[in-house]
Amino acid sequence: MNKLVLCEGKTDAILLSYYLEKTCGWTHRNAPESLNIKVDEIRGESAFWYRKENDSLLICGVGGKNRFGSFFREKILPTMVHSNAFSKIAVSIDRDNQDEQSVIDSFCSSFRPIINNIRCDIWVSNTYENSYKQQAFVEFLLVIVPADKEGALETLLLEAISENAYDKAIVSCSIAYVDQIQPIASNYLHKKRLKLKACLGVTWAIQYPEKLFSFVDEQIRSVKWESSQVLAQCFHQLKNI
Amino acid sequence: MAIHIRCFKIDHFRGIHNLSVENLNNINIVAGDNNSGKTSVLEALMLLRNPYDVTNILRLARMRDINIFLSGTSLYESFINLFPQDTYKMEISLNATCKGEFVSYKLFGEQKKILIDIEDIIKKSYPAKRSSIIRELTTDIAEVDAFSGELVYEIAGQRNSLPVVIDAYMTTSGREVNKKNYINVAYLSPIDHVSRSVCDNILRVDTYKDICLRILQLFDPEIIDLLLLKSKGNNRPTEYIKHAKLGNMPLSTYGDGIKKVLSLANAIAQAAGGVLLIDEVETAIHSKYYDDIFKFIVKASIQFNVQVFITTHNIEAIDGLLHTQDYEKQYNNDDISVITFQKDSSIPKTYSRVLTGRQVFENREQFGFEVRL
Repeated sequence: MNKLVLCEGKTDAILLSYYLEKTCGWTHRNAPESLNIKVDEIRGESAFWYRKENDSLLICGVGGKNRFGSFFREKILPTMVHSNAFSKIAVSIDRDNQDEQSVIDSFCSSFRPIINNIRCDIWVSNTYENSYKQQAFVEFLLVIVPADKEGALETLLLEAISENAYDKAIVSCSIAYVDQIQPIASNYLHKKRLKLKACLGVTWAIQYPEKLFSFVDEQIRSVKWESSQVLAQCFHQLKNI
Repeated sequence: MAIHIRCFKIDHFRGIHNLSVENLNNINIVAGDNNSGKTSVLEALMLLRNPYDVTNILRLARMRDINIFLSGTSLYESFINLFPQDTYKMEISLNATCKGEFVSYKLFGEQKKILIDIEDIIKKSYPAKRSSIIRELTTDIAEVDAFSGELVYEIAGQRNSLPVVIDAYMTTSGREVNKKNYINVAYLSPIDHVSRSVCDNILRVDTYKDICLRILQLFDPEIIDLLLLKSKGNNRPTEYIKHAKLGNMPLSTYGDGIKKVLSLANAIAQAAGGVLLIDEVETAIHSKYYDDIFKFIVKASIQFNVQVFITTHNIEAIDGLLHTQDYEKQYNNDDISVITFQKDSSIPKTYSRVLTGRQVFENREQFGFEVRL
């Protein structure tokens, strides 16, 4: 069976692939020939395949928060309608300042006609008609990050880093530093999302200065996210994919 | 446009039940795995050729028997096998919108024992089998297996029926063939290029022969002409290829690829104004020739006003056929549909999927779509 995780960008995709590899045993594989979904890296899209026993998992970065709908319509919908390609689909999205219902409504609208029933953090069965005019089934999970407050994946990562008392102080100081510098760096930090990214960036720059110029995947892979209670709680349903 | 059959529905035929296929095109690629029902669908469409002619269905029953003289299967067994074997009901039925008219075909009945005069059996049998029949049947009248039923057909609102009795000793030999077809339907099997004449229709039209020669020159640029000459050995008309270096050589001395191309070209001309059913188009053709040969098939079928149904289980052949279209430039027209079937034996029902050539082409590009499943 093929499973699919859609997330916002390549960073999210790398984190989730790292996390699911370490916690569930998914290992990298090449794309299957008959489901080799082409992505546009210039638009920030990514697609990586993983294997566990007879199952395959595709983790896609869709190229940004506002590109879930177009990515799904262009790249995923044809595979579902013509090939019943995925038996499970999960979406991980940053909460930012949205309420759950508006996120659900937005996905119901943009993932139609494949996905009509969505609940947060619960796998829900969906039925749709394939191109043979047969009823087909797919389970769907929506993970809003973080689960219980405003924020984004970076919030979760900062919390995970803060689980260590030593690093917690670094995170606090990094956040304070970004708050302090924001008025004079407003050209760069004019959105909450960007400030949050800056907080994580400063924290990492302090924790791993030698990796400052490394690619983001190397930075992400430097941390033992699999030990984090915060991530375990947030992704406990996703691990069932 | 050569869309003579716009849609069809096969209620029961061989292993197919409740199959509905719509949106047919000029070129219809019937793709799928082995035993998915592709050839059965072509056979069912053959019934439209002459719905009121029982000989048509008997000849159809024999099409899968490569050599009826060597085959151990009788015509009667082949005929019975046209009926679904997974239900108790003996019924073949289908309908179609053909030439803008509603056409339906229904043959139903039962198997039973009937009494036949042994003289009649001997008359109907091939000479080689007569002595063994005389040994087997010791009485003047024999009880034999038979199908007894009725053929009901309807063409453009005109409904007719006729009784049909096919006994276990029936042969097609000597049966009257109704030449007045409702629609011209030609069938090209995967082995026809080695088992029958492949040039007769090509040689009738000089301009078409020239086109066919250009295709043959892909294989050998020194082929000059196609000829029908008397064989030196037995004086019978024989197909020859005139070659710049080799002179006149019998077609039989050439490879299967050349024969296959000729048989395709010949069949298109044979199906002029009607429907051509090509089973396993890729047989005997190397994939490097697909682009040229398939472009020829598409162009020639449009020229001869032929609607084509092509079965294949070869993905390279499907890609080759899709490449006959230029989807980058042609936005509104698409001569190709791709049809696949899925059987659900629990209902029983055969599901169809009809995609445009453009849909398949784009999905092949986008995710390597395995269209045969």
